[in-house]
Amino acid sequence: MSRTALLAAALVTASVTASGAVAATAPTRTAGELAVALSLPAPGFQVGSVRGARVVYARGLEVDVARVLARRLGLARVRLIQVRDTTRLLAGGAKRWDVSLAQLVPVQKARAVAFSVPYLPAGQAVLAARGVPRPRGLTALRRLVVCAVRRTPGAAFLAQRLGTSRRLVARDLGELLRWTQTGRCEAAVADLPTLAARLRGSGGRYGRVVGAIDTGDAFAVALPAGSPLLADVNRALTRLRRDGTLRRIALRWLAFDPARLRVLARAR
Amino acid sequence: MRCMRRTLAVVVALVSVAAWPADAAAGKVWFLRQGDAVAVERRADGVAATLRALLAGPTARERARGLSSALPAGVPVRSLVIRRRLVTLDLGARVATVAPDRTLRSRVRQLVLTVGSVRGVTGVRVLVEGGVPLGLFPGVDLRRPLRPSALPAEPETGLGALRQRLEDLGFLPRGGPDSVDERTGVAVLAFEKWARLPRDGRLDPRDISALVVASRPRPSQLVGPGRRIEVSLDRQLALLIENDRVERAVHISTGAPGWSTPAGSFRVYRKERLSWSVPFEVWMPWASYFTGGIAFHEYSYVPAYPASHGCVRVNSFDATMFYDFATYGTPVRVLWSA
Repeated sequence: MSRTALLAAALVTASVTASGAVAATAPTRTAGELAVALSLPAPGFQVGSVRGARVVYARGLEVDVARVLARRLGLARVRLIQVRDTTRLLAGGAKRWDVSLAQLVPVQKARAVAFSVPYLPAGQAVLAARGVPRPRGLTALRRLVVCAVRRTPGAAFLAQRLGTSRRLVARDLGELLRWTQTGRCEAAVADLPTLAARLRGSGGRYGRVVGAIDTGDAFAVALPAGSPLLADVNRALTRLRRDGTLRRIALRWLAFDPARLRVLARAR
Repeated sequence: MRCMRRTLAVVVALVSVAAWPADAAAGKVWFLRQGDAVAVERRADGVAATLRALLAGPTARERARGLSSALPAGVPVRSLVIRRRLVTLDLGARVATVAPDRTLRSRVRQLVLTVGSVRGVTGVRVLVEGGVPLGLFPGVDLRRPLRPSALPAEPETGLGALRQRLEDLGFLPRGGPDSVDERTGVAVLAFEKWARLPRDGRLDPRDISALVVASRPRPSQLVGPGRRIEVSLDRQLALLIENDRVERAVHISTGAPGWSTPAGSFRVYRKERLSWSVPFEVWMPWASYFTGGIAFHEYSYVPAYPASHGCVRVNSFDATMFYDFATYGTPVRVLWSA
């Protein structure tokens, strides 16, 4: 065997051994550092404190995902950047960050960014009030007084798919939860991730989440269009999902793991 | 460099505090009793000493008296700056450790009330780890300085929110005036009866805690569609039920000992807008008879205990609504315990 062949074999072995880290030298803007754009606040997902555009303290599901992602990419440091307006994250122009986690749902129109594989389902959830039998499908749901927050996909779903006169529209999530708690609503359809964050620590007083309505939406990491990091991020996220890390993070910050909910209906 | 910056901040803090006119009078420190902010006196001069007294928490004697603090022990003060009567507190991340939303809001409330009560202070700005908190204290906007008088009302336990909750639970009718009035007191009494709390018609901290987690009263049994009324003799409460859902829970008073309202299943069989009681020689407005001479009717005095001669006294706020609900043939179930 020639010297070159031996060297190639050694390199292959080394890369297989180091498969835990996706890439030892992930191509980021600053070597060894992942610059993450956030858009605080989003309770449960990212809250903290900021000085100018610098996030000096942060916690939440997306902050944890950013940190484990950096580790999997073999990056020692994470720099968190606050971008107040999420539309700016998706707009064109130079980006000061490597990745962005800000409850972003992939949209075709956003040509300035590329999206990773999803890290969290983001459809609608069905919450059943205390004492209400668990609805197992749309037919059972139609028999109940069902509520949603106005001008949300939940309200649209009620109008289009449930077609029942027994529906109420709340001003905001707080009112919706109050109605569910006090029995004015027997069930509610609301944004899955927001509900999962809000129900954490509520002690079941608002009822229980009995299923999901699959809208096909999911949160994904955004990267500047053409970013060489995309393949590595996708590989890392896939691995994080497979080894249960994403589930552990979800259960740390949310009342339940959105990925494990039974799908009651599909919105599309 | 970082160490130098911290030293600088401490120096700024010390200079600022020293420049502040010393207040020889006793300071006020705010703690919590059953969720409500309560002021206690401390011998503390100026902002720094008052803040120290707050962060030290209540004394053992105060704890024994039911005082507590929402602030976790050992919150570091990174810096304290007073400029133009505005106090900027920069605290360590420990001040925002994960806790229920209400506890997090109480932390800010305690800080702002305590520091804001120092003579001359016009506003308090709270920073965490040198940055403006975003979402760390749900429901409190810390992007601007806060004044003690302008603290946001607790979203769940403000009077308006509690009144709203009484409506949602069916103890108050919908669409009433926004103000808290005598009618609210009657609804509170009905809630206290349902929750088996002391019946005084006043919203005390125990009532508030129960109200925040309460769900709508449920009928003793589910029988299907239609209207009916359940009277609970032990709770002194009438439940107006439609399609197995309690629409309203109404404060009532049934027969006093010796004049007990009979338990059993009946139906409304006679209705009179103004009925005359022959044996007791009294007018009974909005009367709905359901067995013999026993009726639901309005009465001017509806105490929290059984006080009638067998009829079911209904308070004046709910009498006409009750009369309209109890149509001819409406089933009435009188239960000892529900």
